[in-house]
Amino acid sequence: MKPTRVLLAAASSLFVSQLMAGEAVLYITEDGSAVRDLAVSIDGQKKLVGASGFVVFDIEKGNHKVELSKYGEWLGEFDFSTAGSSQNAEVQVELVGGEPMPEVNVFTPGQEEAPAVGQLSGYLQSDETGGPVSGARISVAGTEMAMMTDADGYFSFELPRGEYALNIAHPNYGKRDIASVRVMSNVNTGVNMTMSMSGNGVIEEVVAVGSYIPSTATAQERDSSAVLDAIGSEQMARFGDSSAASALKRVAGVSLVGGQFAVVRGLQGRYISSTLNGSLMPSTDPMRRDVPLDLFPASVLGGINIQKSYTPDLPGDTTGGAIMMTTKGLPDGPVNKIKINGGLNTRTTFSDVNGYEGSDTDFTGMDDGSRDLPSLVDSATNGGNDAINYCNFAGCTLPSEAAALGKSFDNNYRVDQIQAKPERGFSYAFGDLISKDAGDVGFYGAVQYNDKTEARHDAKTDDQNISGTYERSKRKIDATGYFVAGFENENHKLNSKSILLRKTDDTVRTSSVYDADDNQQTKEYTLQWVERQFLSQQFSGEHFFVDGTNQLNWRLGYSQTSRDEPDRRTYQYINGNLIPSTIERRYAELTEDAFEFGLDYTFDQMITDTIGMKLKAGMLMSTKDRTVDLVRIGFEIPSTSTLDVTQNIENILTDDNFDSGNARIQVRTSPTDSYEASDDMFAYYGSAELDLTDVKILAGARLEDSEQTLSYPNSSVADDTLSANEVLPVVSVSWQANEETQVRFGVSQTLSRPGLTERSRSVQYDPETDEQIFGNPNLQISKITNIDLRGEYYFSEEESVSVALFSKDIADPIERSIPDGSGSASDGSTFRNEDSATVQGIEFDFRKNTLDGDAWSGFVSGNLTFLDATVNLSEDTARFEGKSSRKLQGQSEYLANIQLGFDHLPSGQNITFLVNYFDDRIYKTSRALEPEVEEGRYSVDIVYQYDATENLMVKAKANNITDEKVIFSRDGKEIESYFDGANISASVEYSF
Amino acid sequence: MELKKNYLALAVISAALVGCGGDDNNSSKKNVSGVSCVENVCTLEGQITEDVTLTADKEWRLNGFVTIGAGNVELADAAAVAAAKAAGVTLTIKPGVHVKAFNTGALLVTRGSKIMAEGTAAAPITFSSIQDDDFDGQGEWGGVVVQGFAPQYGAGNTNACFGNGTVCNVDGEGGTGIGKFGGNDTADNSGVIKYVRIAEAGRVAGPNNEINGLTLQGVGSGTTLEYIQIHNNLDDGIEWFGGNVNLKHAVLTGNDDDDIDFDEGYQGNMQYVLIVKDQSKDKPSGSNDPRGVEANSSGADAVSQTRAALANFTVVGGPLNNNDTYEVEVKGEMTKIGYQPGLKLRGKVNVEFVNTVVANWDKNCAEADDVVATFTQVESDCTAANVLKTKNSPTVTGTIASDLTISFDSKLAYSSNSTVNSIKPTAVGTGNDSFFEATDYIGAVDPDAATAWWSGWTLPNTVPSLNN
Repeated sequence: MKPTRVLLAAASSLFVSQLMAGEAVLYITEDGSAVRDLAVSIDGQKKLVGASGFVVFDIEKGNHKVELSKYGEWLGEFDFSTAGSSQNAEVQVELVGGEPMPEVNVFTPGQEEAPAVGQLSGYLQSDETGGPVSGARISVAGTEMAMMTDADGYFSFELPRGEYALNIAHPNYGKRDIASVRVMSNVNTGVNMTMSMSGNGVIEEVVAVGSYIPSTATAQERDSSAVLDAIGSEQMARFGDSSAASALKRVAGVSLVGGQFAVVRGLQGRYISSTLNGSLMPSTDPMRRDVPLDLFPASVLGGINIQKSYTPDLPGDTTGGAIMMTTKGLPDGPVNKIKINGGLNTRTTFSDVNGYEGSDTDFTGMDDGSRDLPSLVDSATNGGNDAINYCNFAGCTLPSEAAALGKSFDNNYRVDQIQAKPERGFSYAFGDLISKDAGDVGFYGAVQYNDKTEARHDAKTDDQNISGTYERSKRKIDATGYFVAGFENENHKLNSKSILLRKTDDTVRTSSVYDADDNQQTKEYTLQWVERQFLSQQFSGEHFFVDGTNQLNWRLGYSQTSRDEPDRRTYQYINGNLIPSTIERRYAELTEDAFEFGLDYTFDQMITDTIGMKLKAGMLMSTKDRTVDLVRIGFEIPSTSTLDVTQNIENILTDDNFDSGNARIQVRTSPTDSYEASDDMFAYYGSAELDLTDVKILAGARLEDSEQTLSYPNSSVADDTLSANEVLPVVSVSWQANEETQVRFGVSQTLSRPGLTERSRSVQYDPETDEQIFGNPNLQISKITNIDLRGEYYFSEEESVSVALFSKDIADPIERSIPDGSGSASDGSTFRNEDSATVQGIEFDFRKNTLDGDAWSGFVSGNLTFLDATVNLSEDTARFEGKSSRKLQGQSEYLANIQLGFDHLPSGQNITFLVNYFDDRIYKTSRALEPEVEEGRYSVDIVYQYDATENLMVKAKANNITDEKVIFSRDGKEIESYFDGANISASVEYSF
Repeated sequence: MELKKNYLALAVISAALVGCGGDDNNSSKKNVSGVSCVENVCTLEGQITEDVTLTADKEWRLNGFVTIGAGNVELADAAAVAAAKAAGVTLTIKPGVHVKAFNTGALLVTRGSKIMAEGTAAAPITFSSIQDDDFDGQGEWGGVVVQGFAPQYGAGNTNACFGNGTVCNVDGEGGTGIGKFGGNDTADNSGVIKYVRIAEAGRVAGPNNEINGLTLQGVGSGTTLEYIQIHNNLDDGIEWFGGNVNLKHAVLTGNDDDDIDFDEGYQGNMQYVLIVKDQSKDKPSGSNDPRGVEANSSGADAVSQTRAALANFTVVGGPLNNNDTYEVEVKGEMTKIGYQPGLKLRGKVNVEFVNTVVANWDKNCAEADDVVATFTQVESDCTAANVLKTKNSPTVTGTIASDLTISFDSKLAYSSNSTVNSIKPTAVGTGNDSFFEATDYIGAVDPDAATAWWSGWTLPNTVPSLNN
C-alpha cells in the first residue's frame, strides 16, 4: 500500500515566534535519511545528534568551525560564518561516502523576504500492534494547522522553517506532545513516532527508517487473500473488552456462548481452530473441544485475528474460522506501569450471595490442600479407585476403619449467605528495549490479578411440571504472569514467551424445585471449586533471507493445561429429609501436556514486473497427552440407623456418627471414570499464491495425519483409537476491480475431529447442569466443504462496507445428542455423528465516520449476519428427537453488532456505545420434546476513556446496562430465566 | 479393576488354602474364572464367561459387580447378536442356595446368558447382604439385574430401540457397569427365577443410579418369573425396562420406592402380586416416591407401547406413602406434599387391572394421567374424592370402588362384600392366552384357600400381619 500524503500548504504570512536568535541548526542525512549516532562540535562545543536527527547550538557572530565524528572516528569538518548575533544558520549536511557536504543557509529571522518553507512529515506507529495509527489528530502548536493521520498512519505539513511543537491526539492512544521539532527550508523532516495506548507517555521520535508492514485491522484485512477479520488491541481497548472473548463478539458473524466460547459463522467450537502465537491451543475444559477465550486477559494479548476461511497453513479444523491470538511482543522502550481496577455489579455487589467456608488461600485462586482427597482414603482405596467392602471379618473394612475413613473428610457442607465484595484487581507491567549494533534486545513482563463475584438473580426454572428457583454465585479469581524476551533486527527475530494463566471459579449453587408429578420438593446444594491453569513456554523465530523475499518462521513449544476440581460437594434434601445416596464428593483432575514444533517457509517475490508469486510451505508436529482422573466418594447411612435426617448435614456427618456406624463412606468411582489419552498429529502443507496485480490466485493443500487413542488404566476395556490421514485442498481467487473494490472467492475442504471427551467412555458431568455426558467411542471425523464469496468496497481509507456469502456442507457432523439409554441412563447427553449439515449465510459489515472535526470525531460501525444452518439427523437421533432435521445447535439465525464512537480530541476523551444482539439459538436438544432454546437478547455497553495526563489514564465502562433477562425456553414457554445485573467498572493506569 | 485391594487378601488366602476353586468343590467340576472358594465359602466376582453352578452346600458371596456373560457390550449387527447368543453362559443356582452380597455386590445376567435359579417352596433361593444374618437391612447391596434381547421402547415415544433395523444397544440404568441391552426378540429366554427371595438390596451406585431388587431390562417372554419375593429394597421391588416377561406369584414387602414398576414398552402380564409397604416407617429412606404400582414415567417420557394386564393385585400402603407433613410453597400457596398414590399410571400406558384391592393409600389410591386404563372388580378404602385422580384426559373404563372397609385375614386375603365374578383379563401378547387364571375373588390371595401361596417360602417375619 502506498502512503497517501496530504500536503497542507503553509500560510506564508505565518510568523514563528519560538525561534531564538543566534542559533545554528544542523540536520545531517545520508542517502536522504537522517543520521544519528553522530557527534558534532561547533567551536569546540560538542553535542550528539538527537533522535530526531537535529542538533542545535547557540552561536555568536563570526566564523564557526564544525567537526563531525562517529564513535570517535573523525568524519570531516567545515566552516561557516554568521554576520550578526541575531543571525541564525541552518546547516544541512549530506554525508557522501562518509564525507560531509554541507549546505549552509544563514538568515535573520523575521527579516526574510519570503520565509523559507520545509516539510514535516511522518508516520505514526502503534506500539501494540506494530501497525499504523490512523485517525490521529496532529496539530502544530501556536498555529491553526492540524490534520489527521491517514489510514496508513502518515501525515505531512509544509511549514515555515523553525522550531515547532506538535500535539497528537487519538481516541485510543490518547494525547501526546512533541516539543522541538525542527523544520528547515527545503528539508523534509521525517518524524516516525511510536505511540502506545497504554498511557506511559513514551513517544519515541525516530527519523524515517524501517519498512512499513501493514498489520492492523483494515490494512491487514485488505491484504489477506483469505477472509480475515482482525481485532488489534487498540480495538479491544476501545470497546472496553477485558478479554479475548468479549472482543470477539464485535466481529461480523461472531457471537459468544456463555461469554466464553466463540461461534463463528454459526459454527461452534468444534468447527473453529484456536492458536496462541501460532501454536495449537489445548483446551482446559474437558467438556469442550474449544478453548474458553476468557482465559486470556487483554493485558497479555497483543491481538486477535479471526480468519473466516481456511488456508493450508491453518489447522485442518478451521471450518467456521481460526482464532489466532498473539501475545504482546517486545516493547519499544522502557515500560513501567501499574493499573488498579475495581467494579460493581448492580445486583450482586454488597448483596447476600451463596458462600461457604473455603480454604485459607482461596483469595489466591489456589486451594491450600484442604480440598484434597484425605490421604487416609487415598491410601486405603488405591487413590479412590477401589470400592470398600464393609463387614466384620478379615478381608473387609472393619467398623473402626470405616469410622476413620469417614472422619478423615472435613465436615464442611453448609452454604451460608455472604456479602458479595466488589470486583478488584491490579496489574503491573515492566519492560525495556535496548538497541545494540546488531539489533534490539528487549523484554516485557506483566502480572495481573483480579477477583470478582458474579451471581444469578431471580433465577427460576419451570419445565415438565418441575418448577423452582435457584441461586448461583461464582467467585472468579484470575492471576496471570507473562514474560517475553527477545532479539530483533531487520532480518531476524527471536523470542521466548512464557505464559502462566490461572482461572479459578468458586461456584455455589443451591436450588429448590417442586416436582408436581412426583409430589416432591428437592433442595440441592453444590459447592464447586475449579482451578484452570495454562502454562506455556514457546521459542520462536522469524528469519528473512535474500532481501526479505524468503522468510522462515519456526516455533517450538511446550504447554501444560490443567483443570483441577477438588472436592466438589453435592447433596439433596427431599421433602426436608437428607437423602444419603445423593451426597457425593468428587475429585476430578485433568492434565494435558502438549509438545509442538512448527515450521513455515515463505517465498515472496515479483517474478515479472507485474506478477508476484508467494510460495508457502510448512509442517507441524504436535503431540498431546491427557490424563483424566475422577474419584467419586459417596456417603451412606446404614438402614439400621435412627439418625434424624431432617437436621443440617453437618449435624449428620459428624465424627460421632462415623464412630457409631451411623454414617460411612462409599467409593463410587467407576473403572472407566479415569482415562489416558493421546492425540498426535503430523501435518504438512504447501500453497502458492500468484499476484497478477488485479487478481490473486491461491491454491494449496494440507495433509493431516492424526491419531487419537484413549485407554482406561483401571478397566479391562480395550483402547479406542481413531486414526486418519486426510488431504485438505483449497483454491481461492481474489479480484481487485479497482482501488476501492475487491471480490474474493474460495473453495476448501476442512474437517472436524471428535474431542477426546466426546469419545471417552468415562461418564462426564456437565459443569453447568451436572447432567451426565456419555462419550461415544464410535465417533468419526466430519468432513466439510466450504465455499466463500466476499465483496468489499472501501469508500475511504477507513470507511468500508463488505458483504460475504458462504456455504458449508458438513458430512457426518457431530452434535451433542440424546443417549440411547433406559431409565436414568436416558437422562443426560451423548455425541453422535449426524447424517449431514448445511450452513449458509450472509454477512454485512460496515464502518463510516460520522464526525470529522478538529475537536470531535466519531464513527459508526457494525455488522449483521443471517445464517441458515440445518442438520439432517441420523436415524437414532431422529428417533429420539422426533424429527429428521433441525437447526444446528448453538446457532442464531441473526447476529448483529453496532458500535457508535465519539472522540473529543482536545481533552483526550472518548466514549463508545456498543450494542450486541443474538437471535434465539438451540441450547440443548431434548428427547421427544422441542429443544431448549436460549432466547435472543440485546446487550448494551458503554466505554469511556480519558487520558488525564501523559502518565495517567482513566477508563470506565458499563456492561450489560439494560440487564435483560436471560431466558431459556422450550416451544415458546419460558423454562429458565435469571438476571446477571449490570457491571460498572473503572481502572486507573499510571506509568512511571 | 475395582475391588482389587480388598480382595487381594481373599484371593491370596484362597490360593494358599485350596488353590483357586478346588476339586473338592463338587458343584463346579472345573475352575471357573471369577469364582474362588475357601473351604465352603465361594466368592463370585468380575465377569464370568463360563457356565457356573451354585450349590447349597456352600455359602456363596457376591463381591462387586458380578457379570454373567458378555452380552452387555455394543453388538453392531445381527451376526454379533447371534454370536452373543451362542457365547451365552448359564448361571445355575440350586434350591436352598443363599447368596450373600458384600455392599459392593450386584449380579448382572447379560443378554444371551441365562440365570437358572429354580428353588422350591421347601428350599427357596435367597439373596441378601453379608453384613448381618437378618433380612431387615435396606440398600445393603446392589440387586439382581437381568438383561435380554427383547424390545425396549424409548422414553418420550421414541419407538423401538431397533429402529428400522434389528439390533439394540440401549444403555441400562444402574451405572457404567450395566452396559447395553435390548433386541427385537420378544420371546427371548433369560432363564428361570422361581422361589427366589431378594432382600436388603437397592444400594445406590451414584446419584440416580439405583438398582432395583430385580431389574429386568429387555427380558423376553421365554423367561419364567414365579414365586419371587423382593423385601426391603431401597429402590423399586421389580422394575421392567421394556421386555415381555410375565410375572406370577410375587411378594413385595418393605420396599422403599415402587413395588412394581414397568416402563419403556414393557408388554406383559402379571397375576397374584402381594404388595405390602413397611407398616411403621413414616418416610422413604432414599430418593424415592413410594407407590405400589408405577407404570411409565412422567408425561413427557410417555411410551405408548407400554401395555400390561394385571390381575389379583393386593396393594397395601403404609405410613411412608401417606406422609404429607412436609409443607412447601407451590405456585404461591403453602401445600402439604409427600404422599403418593397406590397405582400411578401415566404417559400413554395401556393397562388393565382385574380383581385388585388397593388399601391404606389414604390420600390417593390411583392416579391416571394421559393413559388408557381399565378397572374391573377393583376395590379400595379411599374416599370417592381420593380414589382416582385423573390428569390430561385419560381414557378410563370401569371404576375403582371407594369408601369400602378393607380388611385382610391372616393369609392377607381380602373378602369382598360385593359380588365377584370369576373373570380374568385379556392377556397381552401372543402365546399368553393360558397365562391368566380366572378367579372369583379380589386380591392376591384366595380367601378360601387353606394356606396362602406365599406362606412357607417367603423370608421369615417379612410379610406383616394386617388383621389387627
